[in-house]
Amino acid sequence: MNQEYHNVSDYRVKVEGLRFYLGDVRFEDDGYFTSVKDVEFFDLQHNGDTVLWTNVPKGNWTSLRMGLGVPQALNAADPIVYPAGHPLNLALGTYWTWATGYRFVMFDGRYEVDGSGTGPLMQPFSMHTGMDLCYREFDVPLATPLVVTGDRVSTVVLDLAVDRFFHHGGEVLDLATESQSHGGDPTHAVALELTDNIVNAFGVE
Amino acid sequence: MSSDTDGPFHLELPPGAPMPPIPAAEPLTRASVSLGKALFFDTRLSRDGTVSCGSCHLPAHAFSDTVALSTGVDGNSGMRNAPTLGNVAYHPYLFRDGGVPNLEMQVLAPVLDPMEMDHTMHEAAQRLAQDGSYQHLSQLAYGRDLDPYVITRAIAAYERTLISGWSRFDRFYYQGDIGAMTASERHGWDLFRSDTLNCMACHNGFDLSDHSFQNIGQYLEYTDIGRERITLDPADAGKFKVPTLRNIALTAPYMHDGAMATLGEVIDHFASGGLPHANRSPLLPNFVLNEQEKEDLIAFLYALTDEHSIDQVP
Ligand code: HEC
Ligand code: HEC
Repeated sequence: MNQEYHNVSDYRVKVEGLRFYLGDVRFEDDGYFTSVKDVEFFDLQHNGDTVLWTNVPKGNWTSLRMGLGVPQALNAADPIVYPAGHPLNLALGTYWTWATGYRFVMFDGRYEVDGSGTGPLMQPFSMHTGMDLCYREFDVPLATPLVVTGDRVSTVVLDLAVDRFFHHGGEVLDLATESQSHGGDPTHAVALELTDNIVNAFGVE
Repeated sequence: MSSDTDGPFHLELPPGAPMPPIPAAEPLTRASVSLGKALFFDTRLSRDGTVSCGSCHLPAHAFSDTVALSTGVDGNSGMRNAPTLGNVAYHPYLFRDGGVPNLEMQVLAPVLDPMEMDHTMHEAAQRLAQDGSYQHLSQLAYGRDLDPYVITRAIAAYERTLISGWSRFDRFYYQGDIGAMTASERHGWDLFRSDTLNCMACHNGFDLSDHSFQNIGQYLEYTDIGRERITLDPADAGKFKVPTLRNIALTAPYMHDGAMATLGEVIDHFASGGLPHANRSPLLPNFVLNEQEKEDLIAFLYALTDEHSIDQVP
């Protein structure tokens, strides 16, 4: 966070905040799925975030399946019931009251489109996704299976390549034309593009 | 011995009013509605202690505001006009775009909105929980200390008591008291329910609204896309919930953005049939009224004003 780098369009970019939900997290072993968490919140302000799951059954899990966002039923429910510390607690400031649903991804920072520029004035960008339309399920294959034995902590390190947030395939999310997304555009074009890119930016270390 | 905060709250219904749907889990009790009323008018629900729900939903104006766009904390204003809360208990969804499913969840919107109260539920509850009388009512009503959950429940309970139906029109229509309306008002009513004007295609039933979403051709291009923001369907662009016409004389300015200052303007708009937006409702005819007829129609709309306050909570 807060480090400058050049993105795919050669813009200077400084990411100041990256927060997101993963929903319906499951591990897979040869077509068999085990659910580990209904929803989890990640705040990468310190360049990473850690969650602990104590309910993963013993096994050799080869893949992780999850959704980027909050699953529909949870997203529509009354948020007032969640205690402090719960990923859906209102205090996290992730709730869109007008849509009665959560922001799924909150990606904020600054950019400068003039690649040669070194001036201090960088424009803010703020891209927030949300609403069921933007919920996207995806799989992350684990290069080496996660072996859960039940007597010690096993670790999966998920890698999120922020540079890939700006492109996937031949598509480029151009900050010069698309730097804001707050759910007001009924096509959710920028949000959907960002969603695709993020899903493709996940990998395992 | 019973005090005025013990037991169930007996909702007084005007003649002709159906029982509003009250969720089984949210019964109206004297404690819950009293607590809700106190919270509704408490500015401590806002970040800087300057704005309450009642700042934008003024009791003297049937719980609506007198300006097109209300001001929240720091003088901020939002994008829509604050509607009356009379008969919100009957609404199947809240907001002009129907984006919020119930009154409990609606409370979060103004409290968290940076343009309105700009607070958090947690901090607001902490501050209010220091008030002994709130704790007392909260325990009575919900058997727990005042917290964000209680705040949303109590305010919603109070809002469900804001029943509007005590107008001269109601005496005339539901109680057969012909003399309750003047000849001019009665003529206005005849125009209102005529096929030529077709007002009742949308403004019908006890609340004089079917609560459907309609585009009335106010603009060719809407900056506020209304229902489309929720459904994401372009066929819903520029559609807004049909508002009640009760207390309409008290709730100017009109429309989702408060762009029309007078009922005369509104009637001129409907007479024109509206602008030819692709989603404009086919239920809107063009019609011509002479001056007398227009006056009569306005007179009828004035007869929809409650003869006493719609607030029945002591
Ligand atoms: C700053 C002004 C402001 C404040 C403060 C405010 N409101 Fe509102 N209220 C509005 C506006 C504007 C709307 C219309 C919003 C829309 O339709 O999108 C509205 C709509 C509503 C509605 C929906 C009505 C309908 O017909 O769908 C309810 C219910 C409501 N407010 C209750 C409250 C409560 C409860 C509070 C306090 C917790 C509150 N309001 C505080 C301005 C305000
Ligand atoms: C096709 C449905 C429809 C018909 C027919 C219709 N209306 Fe409406 N009316 C609406 C909608 C929807 C709004 C709110 C539009 C908005 O918020 O921008 C409205 C708003 C109004 C308002 C302003 C209410 C407020 O609180 O802002 C008045 C007054 C009104 N109508 C009166 C009439 C009269 C009188 C007629 C007949 C001449 C009529 N309407 C016919 C749908 C209709």
